[in-house]
Amino acid sequence: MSTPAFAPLSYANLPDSAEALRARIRAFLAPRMAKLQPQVRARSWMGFDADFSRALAGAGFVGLTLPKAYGGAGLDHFSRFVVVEELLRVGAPVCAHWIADRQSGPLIARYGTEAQKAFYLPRIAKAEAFFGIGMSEPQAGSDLSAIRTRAERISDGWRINGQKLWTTYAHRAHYLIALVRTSGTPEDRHKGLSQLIIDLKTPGITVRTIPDLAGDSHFNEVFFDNVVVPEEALIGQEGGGWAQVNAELAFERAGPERIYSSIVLFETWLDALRQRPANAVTQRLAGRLVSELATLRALSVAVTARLAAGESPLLEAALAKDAGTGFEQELISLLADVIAADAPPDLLATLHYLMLVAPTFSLRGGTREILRSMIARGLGLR
Amino acid sequence: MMDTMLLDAAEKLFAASLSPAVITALESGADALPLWATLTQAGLADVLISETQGGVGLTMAALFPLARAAGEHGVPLPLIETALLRPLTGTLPDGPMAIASTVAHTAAGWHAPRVPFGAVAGVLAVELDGKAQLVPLKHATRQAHGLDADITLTPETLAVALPLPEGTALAELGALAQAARIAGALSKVLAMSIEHATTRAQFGRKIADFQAVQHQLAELAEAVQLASLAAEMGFVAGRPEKGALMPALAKARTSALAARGAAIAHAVHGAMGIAQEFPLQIFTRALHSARLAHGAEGFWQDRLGAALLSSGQTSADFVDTALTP
Repeated sequence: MSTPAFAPLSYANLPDSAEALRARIRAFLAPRMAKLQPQVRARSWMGFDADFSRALAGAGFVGLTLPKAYGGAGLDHFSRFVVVEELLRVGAPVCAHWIADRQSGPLIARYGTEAQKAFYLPRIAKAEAFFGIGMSEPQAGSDLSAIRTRAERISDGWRINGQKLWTTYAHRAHYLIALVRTSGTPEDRHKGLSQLIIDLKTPGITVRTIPDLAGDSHFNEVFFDNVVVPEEALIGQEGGGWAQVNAELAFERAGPERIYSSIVLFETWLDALRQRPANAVTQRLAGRLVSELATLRALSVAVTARLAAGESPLLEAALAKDAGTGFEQELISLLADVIAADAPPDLLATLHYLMLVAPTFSLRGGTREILRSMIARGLGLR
Repeated sequence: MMDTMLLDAAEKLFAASLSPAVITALESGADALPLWATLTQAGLADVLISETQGGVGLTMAALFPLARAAGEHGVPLPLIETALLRPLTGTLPDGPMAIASTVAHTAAGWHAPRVPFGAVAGVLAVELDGKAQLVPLKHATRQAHGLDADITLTPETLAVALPLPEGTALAELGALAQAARIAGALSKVLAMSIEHATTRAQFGRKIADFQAVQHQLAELAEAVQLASLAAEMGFVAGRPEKGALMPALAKARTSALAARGAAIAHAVHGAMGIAQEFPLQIFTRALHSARLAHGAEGFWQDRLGAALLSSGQTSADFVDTALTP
């Protein structure tokens, strides 16, 4: 018998210690979310509210996996799963602290010097330092190794020239962790790349907002014109940027955020459905969608269990993300298909918004095509 | 540990006793009893029975890997149906037990269409007039369709029926067994498709080099993962009651994925996959048959949708309380 090319993950439970957080985060959210309309909550992790983030941090729900010594809660991946899941399920406006909590904090905790950890992590845990991701560039989208933004060594630091693109909330964030070229040329691909933590108030940085198709302004272009940052802006290894970025992307593919982007619409539709006599088509559709949701959630927990066990389930995380974003998108078109002429205004507004932004679900953090090629590699096809 | 050893032994036994030729012979009416004797002598039908009663005392959750492996190896007998029913019967009845979840009263007697593994079963578990029972099939009328059969139970066959406990959830047990069969068969067709794509060459290179093929196989791997989890969740939830939701989840998800998975496997195999002599069709036919057995995805989605809507819960609370084992 040969070893199978792919052995599926087994079912895993969330441990009681993590489940114990659920009631607390729900109690925090209930009064704060009650007044928000669904079309606002549907923005979810694109919704920016610094006061909300600081209150959440005050209640101890930011920096959950960061070490206690640096102001974090020192909890495991399962605990973060529960808190993030509850935030996303109600469409809480988490964007202000989202990147710092999910990616930048863990990156600094893993690769940072003692001074970097002591400086950034306590402020991340208090939601006083918000971060942006400086990866994409005009000529480097899916092909991230093609970046051109360059940092050259000067006597006491780095001089940066170039441009980043699609940088979410760079106009409201305090810092950017940018992937830049510190040696070689774009033809060297993933060699010669490094990550720098850049204070966005540094002279020479221009941030220009790019409104999106729904009229929201979260995207930005960030220009660097002879921007000088100190030596200690470097995070991790000089030339080690590519490996660091890939580790960072693994954090972001694994969580529950890849199944809940349309959940506010689903809940709003269910509420509307219960106001009228049952209909065979809508009842079946409700059953279909909830069965897909339950299974995808179990998959997300199963991937989290592998992370908690210290593994890097790259194939499984890619697979979970591709399946999850497919569900998020399909839910929207399936519900659009059964909209009645007398649908409630909030439901229509939520649907109109999500139909427009749905394509981004399978773009952000690695496109569907990139993910499927990663899965194919994991299956031994390439 | 015990479970892993049992699974390893079972997989070895499946591999040693099954081949496309053996499966095809049973589909064509060959005697199933020798293979059944091999499997039962290894104790595989009794794994849920307690050790004091001569079984292995597995939980339903621990049965799942075995059930999935049976599907992956194409076990052409209702081994898992029998294992699920065994704790409810006294001595091992005469031959494998198939499950019919619905029957219709006709002039000729009770009629159960397309019973999964009905052609190779010795006994049928069925509910008649509200009473679950085991009906020996020696004298029943059967129209075989491969491993499945249309079965008509005449009054004389019913005279020798044995009772099953009141409230035995036959449809749910059958759905769980077939969900696990789908999960296993999907794994098998993924492995066969990868093997084919990495050996078959066209345009001067192996077809696995084409991105269109890679991306379809990625989607098939997703189907394998999701079907396996959904079916496993049904088993982890334990022995179902009538109307239970976890078997509905398991069967709704696996049925939908079975259809998609079979389509991808055939697309990757090209015309070859259609040929009878190529073994892919053994597993894709099993996928289609299992999808329809005990109701396809829409049937079970109805149950889930009705429960969700009447619960008054958010989908999140419903997932946490009703659809998490």
